[in-house]
Amino acid sequence: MTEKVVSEINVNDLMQECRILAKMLFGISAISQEIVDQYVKANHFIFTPSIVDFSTFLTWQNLIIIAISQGEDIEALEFAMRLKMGKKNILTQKSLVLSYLIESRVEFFDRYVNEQRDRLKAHLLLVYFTLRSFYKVVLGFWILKKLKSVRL
Amino acid sequence: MTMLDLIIVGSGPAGTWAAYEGSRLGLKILMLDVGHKPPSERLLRDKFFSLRKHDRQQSAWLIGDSFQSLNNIHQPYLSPKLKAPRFSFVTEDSDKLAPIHGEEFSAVQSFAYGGLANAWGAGTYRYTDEDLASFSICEADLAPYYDRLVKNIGISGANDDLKDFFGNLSGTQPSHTLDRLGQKLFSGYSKRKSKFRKQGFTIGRPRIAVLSQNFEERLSCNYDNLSFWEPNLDYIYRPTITLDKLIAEKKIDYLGERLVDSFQDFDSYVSVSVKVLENETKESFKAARLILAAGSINSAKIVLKSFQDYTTEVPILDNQTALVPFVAPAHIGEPVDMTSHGLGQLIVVYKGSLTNNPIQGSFYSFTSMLGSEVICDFPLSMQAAKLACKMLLPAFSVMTFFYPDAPHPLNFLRLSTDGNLEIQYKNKVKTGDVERQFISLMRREGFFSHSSLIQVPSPGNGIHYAGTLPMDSRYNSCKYGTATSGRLRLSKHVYVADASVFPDLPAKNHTFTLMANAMRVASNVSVSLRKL
Repeated sequence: MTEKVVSEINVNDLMQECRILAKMLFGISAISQEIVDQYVKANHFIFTPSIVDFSTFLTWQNLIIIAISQGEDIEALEFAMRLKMGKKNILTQKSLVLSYLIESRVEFFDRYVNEQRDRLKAHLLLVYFTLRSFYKVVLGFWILKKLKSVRL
Repeated sequence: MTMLDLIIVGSGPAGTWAAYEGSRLGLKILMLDVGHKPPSERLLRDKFFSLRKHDRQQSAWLIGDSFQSLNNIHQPYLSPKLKAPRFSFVTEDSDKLAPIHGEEFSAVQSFAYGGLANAWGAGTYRYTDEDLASFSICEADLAPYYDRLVKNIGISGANDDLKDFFGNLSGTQPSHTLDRLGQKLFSGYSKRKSKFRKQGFTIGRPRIAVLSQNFEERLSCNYDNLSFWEPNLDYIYRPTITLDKLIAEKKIDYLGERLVDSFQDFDSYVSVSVKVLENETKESFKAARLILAAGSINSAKIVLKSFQDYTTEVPILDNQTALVPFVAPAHIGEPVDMTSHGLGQLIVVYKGSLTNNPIQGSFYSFTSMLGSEVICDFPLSMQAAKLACKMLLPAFSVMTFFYPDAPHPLNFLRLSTDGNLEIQYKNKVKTGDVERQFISLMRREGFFSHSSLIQVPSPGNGIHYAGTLPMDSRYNSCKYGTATSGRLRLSKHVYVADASVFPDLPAKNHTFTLMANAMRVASNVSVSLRKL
């Protein structure tokens, strides 16, 4: 057993994963290297053998790598996995790690905190994104089905 | 070895106030404690949202160098306060110093200077005679100590519909200004009070140890939303304020880095065995009396170890919780409420036909936490959930219901042969009925939720532990029970001052009562020494 589960994962893969997650889940196309480095370090702290089942972790980590390499819609995949397996699946946990890291940066303050009163815009956006979520969940379950053979 | 009047184990609220009263009565006291220290100085001096907008180093206190804020990735119901980086001293090393077997009970322990109360919700509620029905003491026994606590720590509150539930109000400061959602709910309740009361719900302002006016050298609350992030806020009382004074004025001696293992009773004194953590050596101290105030779990462990008892099952109590999220659609798209203290805005008490005993709820707005705390709880894809964090959170609140607890044969702790504790907690509280009724009432006030959104954390997450060494005539058969004086029945010199002695646990934050009772126990110790 390695000291850290994540040490089994190529750091470059983790960096790539961070950039893809930032783009597809949070709409950030150019994420700073500082956050990428923090993401890699956070993975080392959080996904340790004492907490995570080693083989399960690697299976799902590989699935994420394959999904990324095939250019799948990661946002749809994460949502489907969250609905199917709950919040404890690896992709949702990694997304949450990145969400915390992004939210704790000055440059993304306005993406999480509303300072303007605009109720109409808020309602319209929420309706649009809710409808979009319906589309994403259908797409996500289709991607999951497609990747099932890889996982098995 | 040095002979003392009294050794106190633990520096939490019970230990601190036992020390306060004991020193006032002239006892020579030594406090033994592991004592992980809080950060020495206040770091955050601006308001929460101003810091988040401008502080380029905010990741250090929001996330932490060791990613402490991400600890909920694997423990979803971990209190946001306990995982905040500047509060990490509160639970530091607890897994190493006191590992616990058993996965049903999420025990939170503290070996910090000042104990778990460094991160408490500051609720200061008197136990009434109704609450104390199974105790061998009554409200009048605690009243003088409650009154002195009020004068010493600074409490705010109001004389409203909850006065019968909270007990005497005298000496308190006025209530705080409510935040936006707190005002909305309280205003709705005030207009339609009869509907709430008819269904068993009463709403009122909390009594909290948070200053609404300047008090001695401490400044009043400035609504900076920092209570989840900065442990050194003067406006929230914590036992270390009192303890620092006792030590500085040399009224007690304090030794940190000491983990108490066990005690041994002799004819005229008690000997305490201690592990010195910095060099792994052992020490012993002797005193005429010993007060255990290490918290309900650890005090029981010390007792079981002292009697080398690996078979007896002692009771364990906790206020189990249920969380109900609410959204007030009228506030969607409004700017976030930037001025709050982040603690409970309102208290709801349920007394009705759905439960045998009262249930208490605390109403919180989501003004002091990161959106990431809940981003995965929205049934939306991540980009939509991120938008929901921004647009919905100003309209988002949480009601945390606390349930009472009583001893049950399926809920116990015992000492394993490896010297660690094992906790079994199979009899869980039935939740849902009260929450559903409340959801229905709240709808009329413009707060919406659904029963499928009710979350029930595993037992232990209430972090109100009690009942391991109960003082109650009903439990005379309980091997490690305590007498009314607080003395452990099996010992001549050992007293228990923390919530271990509570035979039942009403649905009320018990910290204020355990502080008052600790003073009462210290007073009894003083009386017993005068008789010598």
